[in-house]
Amino acid sequence: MSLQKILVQIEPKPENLLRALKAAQKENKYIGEKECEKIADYFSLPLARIYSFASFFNEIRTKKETKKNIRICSGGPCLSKDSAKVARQIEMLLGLEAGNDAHPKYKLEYISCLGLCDRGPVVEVEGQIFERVKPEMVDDIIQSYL
Amino acid sequence: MQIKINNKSYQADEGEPILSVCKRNGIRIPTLCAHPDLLPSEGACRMCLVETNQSKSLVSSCTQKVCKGMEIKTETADVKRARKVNLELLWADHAGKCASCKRNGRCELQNLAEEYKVDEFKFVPRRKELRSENELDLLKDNWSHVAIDEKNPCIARDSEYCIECRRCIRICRDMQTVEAYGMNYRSSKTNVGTPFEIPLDCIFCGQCSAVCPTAAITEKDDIEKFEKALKDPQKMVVVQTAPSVRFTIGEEFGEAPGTFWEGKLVAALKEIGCDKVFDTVLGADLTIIEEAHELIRRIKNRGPFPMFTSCCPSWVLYVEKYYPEFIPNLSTCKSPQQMLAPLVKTYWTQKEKINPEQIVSVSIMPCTSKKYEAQREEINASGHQDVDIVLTIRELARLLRKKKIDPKKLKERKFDPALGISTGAGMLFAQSGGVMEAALRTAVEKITGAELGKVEFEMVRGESGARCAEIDVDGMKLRVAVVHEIRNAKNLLEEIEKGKSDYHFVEVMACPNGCIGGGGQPVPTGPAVRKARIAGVMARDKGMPIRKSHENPVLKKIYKEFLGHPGSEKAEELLHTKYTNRKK
Repeated sequence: MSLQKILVQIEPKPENLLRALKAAQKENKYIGEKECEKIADYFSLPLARIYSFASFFNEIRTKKETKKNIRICSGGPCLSKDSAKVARQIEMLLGLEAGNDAHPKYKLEYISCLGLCDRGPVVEVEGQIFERVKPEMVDDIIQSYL
Repeated sequence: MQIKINNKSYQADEGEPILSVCKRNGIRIPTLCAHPDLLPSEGACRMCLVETNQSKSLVSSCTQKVCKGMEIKTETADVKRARKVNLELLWADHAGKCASCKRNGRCELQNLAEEYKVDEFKFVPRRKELRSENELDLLKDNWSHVAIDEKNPCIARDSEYCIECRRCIRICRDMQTVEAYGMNYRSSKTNVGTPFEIPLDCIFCGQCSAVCPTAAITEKDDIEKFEKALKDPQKMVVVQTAPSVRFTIGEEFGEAPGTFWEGKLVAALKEIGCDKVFDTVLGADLTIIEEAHELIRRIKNRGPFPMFTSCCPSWVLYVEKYYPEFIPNLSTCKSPQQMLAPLVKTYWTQKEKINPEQIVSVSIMPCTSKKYEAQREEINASGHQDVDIVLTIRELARLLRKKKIDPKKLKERKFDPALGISTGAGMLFAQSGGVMEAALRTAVEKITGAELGKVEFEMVRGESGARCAEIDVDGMKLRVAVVHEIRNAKNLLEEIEKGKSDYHFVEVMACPNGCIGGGGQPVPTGPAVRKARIAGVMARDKGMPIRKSHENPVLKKIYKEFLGHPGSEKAEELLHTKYTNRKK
């Protein structure tokens, strides 16, 4: 479905912006400059406002993703349940560094809260969410889902 | 109502923020995000915290409104400590490269850091202060998200210096309606930037660089180019200075706003080695003669109306980018800078028998957008680049300070007379309403054929954002309007589109109060500062021996020897330009 067709189904009100971005991302995998301009046009909002809105959310990607993505929640509750240890385990296993873009195949990122604070630490692997992750579980998850 | 501040009673209005009561009564409260051009304040910087008897915690005085029986203390130990901690946090995320910084000595953050003695490194530990390995991330995080923009012709950005006060975002959104910046990403990675980190794509008015408290947004630095030209013995450096520069350059050296420094300015320019110093006011006079001629022609041809002035490159760019349907309404006259420059490289070089190749044409402007204007391809008429280097006032002052030249100590000098005799009308270009008044002085005389009794057109003066007047010229009602700031211009354009307004002649300036509030003017700026600058301009116009552009003796000579008459083929070629639709 083209972006225009997706947008027509959504009323161009500021409160619908996140919905539009999510719908557009589902189709296109990421929101690039061209898509952003079209959305800005449709909502009659300046491009800068759309981008600052889109870049705020970890859910919305503004760049094309070529690597496999692992994300760890860095919210307070998850950190207090040792999400940093989980991150270190993943770093050791895959030989990369969180936040660093150097690895050719994988990328590990800290993200903001996913709203699953009671079930932390939360790890997201390629869109799939794992709850109550312990360092010793990392091996399994990576082997079966990445 | 009565409120108490530091145990003294003051009168305050209902719903007024604490900060504005304090400002009015001369009680100083430090602020980094509040700015007189950006009201009401957002309360982003947390520097204006005060103690009140209404709440247990400290409140930000820029957002807290006064209420009955309020007692405020602005300088308690708690308040001071909180301000200091906030400053340290801001400082932790700031580049802190003061010695090499463009704003060194004029930086609001630096001044406050000095005042509150921020010399500790609590939040960014140094190597031996690290307590655990985890703290290494603190160091790195601090620099992980930096946006630098050097690809646009006018504005330099380096978010290392940014303290996220949001002034630039708000002035761009609220005053200029362009909204080129946004607050991108989140939490510790938050930074001010353009969408997708593209080079700045706006109208380059530079208001963001005028309100920025640090050096995160500054004018693009062309000092190096200028110094190179000065050193080159093969080159002849010819400088022109804009009408408003002489009223504001003194501020950079500690004088009050509006101090008239023409002689000192010329002397300083000669001191750093410029060969000739000409006056852009002559270019302004030329603009007026051509513009008045164009207005008369449009009146004869019955349109297209309204005719917009084209002296402000930001305004021209705004029309080209956002309202290209109004391009035919823009006057084809170039701006004063671009009128004088081709004359230097054609008329003056022919007269003096100099090879124009050898000339480096420099202009000192109150404006960042002029840097862009000089690079427009269609604007060059002399066969060379008309203006080679554009420096803002801040850059010139920086260069003078670097060379340890204090204009105060220099003996006043005069402009080189070949292109340096000016009139009061041209001087008025420095402020909003000035182009209109100067043009009316010439146009009305040309239309009626009789000499004006009173040269002042007070109805177009003032400080409000949009002013209009109806002038009776030989039985014809000439409806004129003066607007400044793009938000007012946008309103006017929308009214014209709807058919609600029918003006003949409209002056637009992108910056508040015109060039006097330009993006390249000394900081700090604000309504009070600009008012003082305008008073200086008005006083000067009154004291000028010649007050009408068409009576300028040098211009009469140039028309006689070189251009022929206003609107002639040669004038058309050198002094007029064309515009392109740049809408995306």
